[in-house]
Amino acid sequence: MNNPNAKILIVDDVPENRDLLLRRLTRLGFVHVDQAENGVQALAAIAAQSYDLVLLDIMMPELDGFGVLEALRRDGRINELPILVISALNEIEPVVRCIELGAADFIVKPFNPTLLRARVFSTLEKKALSDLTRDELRRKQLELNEARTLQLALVPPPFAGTIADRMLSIDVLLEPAKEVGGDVVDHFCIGDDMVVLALGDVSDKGAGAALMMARTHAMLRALTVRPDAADLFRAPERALAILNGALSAGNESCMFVTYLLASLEIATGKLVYVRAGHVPPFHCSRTGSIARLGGMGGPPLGLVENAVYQPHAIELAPGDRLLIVTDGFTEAHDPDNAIYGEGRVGAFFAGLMPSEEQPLERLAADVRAFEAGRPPFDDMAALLLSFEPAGTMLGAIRFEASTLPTPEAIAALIDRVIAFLDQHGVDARAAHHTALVLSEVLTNLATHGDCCDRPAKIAISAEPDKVTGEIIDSGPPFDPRLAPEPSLDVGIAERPIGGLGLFLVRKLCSNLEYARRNGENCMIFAISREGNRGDKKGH
Amino acid sequence: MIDCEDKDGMEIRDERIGDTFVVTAKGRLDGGASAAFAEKVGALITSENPKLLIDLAGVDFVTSAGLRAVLVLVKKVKAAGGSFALCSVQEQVREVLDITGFTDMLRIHAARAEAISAMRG
Repeated sequence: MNNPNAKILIVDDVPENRDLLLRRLTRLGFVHVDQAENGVQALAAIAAQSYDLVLLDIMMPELDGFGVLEALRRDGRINELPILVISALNEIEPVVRCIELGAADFIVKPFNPTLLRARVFSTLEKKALSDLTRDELRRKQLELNEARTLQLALVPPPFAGTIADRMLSIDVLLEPAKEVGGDVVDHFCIGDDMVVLALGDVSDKGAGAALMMARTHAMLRALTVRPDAADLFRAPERALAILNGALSAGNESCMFVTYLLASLEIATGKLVYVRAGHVPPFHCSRTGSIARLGGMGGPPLGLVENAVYQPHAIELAPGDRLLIVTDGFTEAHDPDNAIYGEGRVGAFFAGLMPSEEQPLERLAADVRAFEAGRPPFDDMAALLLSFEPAGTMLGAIRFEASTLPTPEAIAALIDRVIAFLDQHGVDARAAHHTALVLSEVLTNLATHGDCCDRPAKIAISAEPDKVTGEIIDSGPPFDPRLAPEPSLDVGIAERPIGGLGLFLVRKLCSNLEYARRNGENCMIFAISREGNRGDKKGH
Repeated sequence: MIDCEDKDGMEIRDERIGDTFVVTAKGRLDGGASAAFAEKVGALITSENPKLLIDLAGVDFVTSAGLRAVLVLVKKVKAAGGSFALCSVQEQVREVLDITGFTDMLRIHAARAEAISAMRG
């Protein structure tokens, strides 16, 4: 492979040597040959334009051949620019040193035309091949990056808002293990009262799986424009059968997709789902109890052309949540080959604070931390649905600390909460009640159990009709609803000192819930805002 | 005579009007301030038949810890055969007293002057 356009630089302090080399190279057909008299000139020339080959003398004034090689080695250019070292026949040690510094090969003076030709051609050929490989890799990487961008663009953004007058939030996550992957996640509305959720996992990863994923995604979306789309998704087993038929036809590679398709009728909360070989989704009720939505639906998509799918249904209640994941989460490995497991995913789900926005990122980060730098096990896709989470949230303020707040810190925290509630137009009375409840609960938590040295998370949300609060701490079990009722009608002498705080909490909250989950106390309370309480006492 | 502001921002001032100790409190009577409040005000009760009036005009936040402090003081005054009253209670604090039954248990006057003349009698 002789490329006459190759650019060659001759570096030698002896003009006769340069002339001789120039003549030989010209005779070999090269037309772009430059010259430099020493190392300094050589580095300047190399910096000014890109060469395909440098013929480099060793002994030179100003900067010798070693100096040039060292400079090129320092900034890594030696890997892309082949150097042929010119040496006298009797100096083998310096040549060895040059090769160690990264020179590609050497030729000896006086120059033998045949050897010179062979070395120059083979060095240029190697350079051309490695350039080709590098360019090809670069191009592939660019293409893959573009494919990744396009694939991620298939995922609709998370949703939080009202559909058919009911509050709904959907968080989605897609993280291919390589540039592109075979997991698919989607959600969309059909009509104005139905939401469709879809999540799948192609039986492989990489580019082939990505094409299969895109096909599955596109075909599902194609169903949404059919005139019978509402009927089709109300009975998602029908939509799934169509999808399966199309993916099975002529599927010689036998690539398949485990899939979960669900439709939620907003007005009634009725969720119909079909599992095509996919792992059962997690269901979490408002009180924090976790269940799996089992019930086989049918085989993965793409395997059995005439497969029949079975739907299952549950009714979602306000505050219910649904989490669907692919095995990239559950089967991620740590360096000791332990798997992340469904238990950890379930624990994450149970411990979620309803007010946390887009928590799936946190789950993915936890999986990555678990893998501790190992390459991702598989693509990850997840979908989290919260059905009427906590009313329409106007704003939320969060505190997270490694220890329960001290009495001084409680006062400071309450100042911030009151300012936050004021900013969101919450009336002074509801703000005062919120401050009282927070103060009482936090004081009780700090004195309950041996120490306050335990993590606590506090979130306060302002909603149109109420203020809600969540307090999570990892202390000993503590249910604020179970504290004994103090007797309020006894005389002063008999009146016990204490027991009033939690009594106040129970009186002030319009709703008070408690659950013990994963070794944590999870308490949710609500305080009605002015105008929504019928029992306000006059004075 | 006590006249101090502790680190939690609770201000306590007391004066003697006739035979009545009038304590003016300002700030929050919460978990951080109440124990010190009970101790400082309790130290005023040294004689037989003490008369103690606590003016809550400047107190906008009373938690159960504050209620406990009040209860401790009331018991101490009663044990010494004295009388105890609150005055100028802010509406939101009044609500807490209502809910916890303190309103029925304590003498609460709308204003300081009215309270002092009632206690003198």
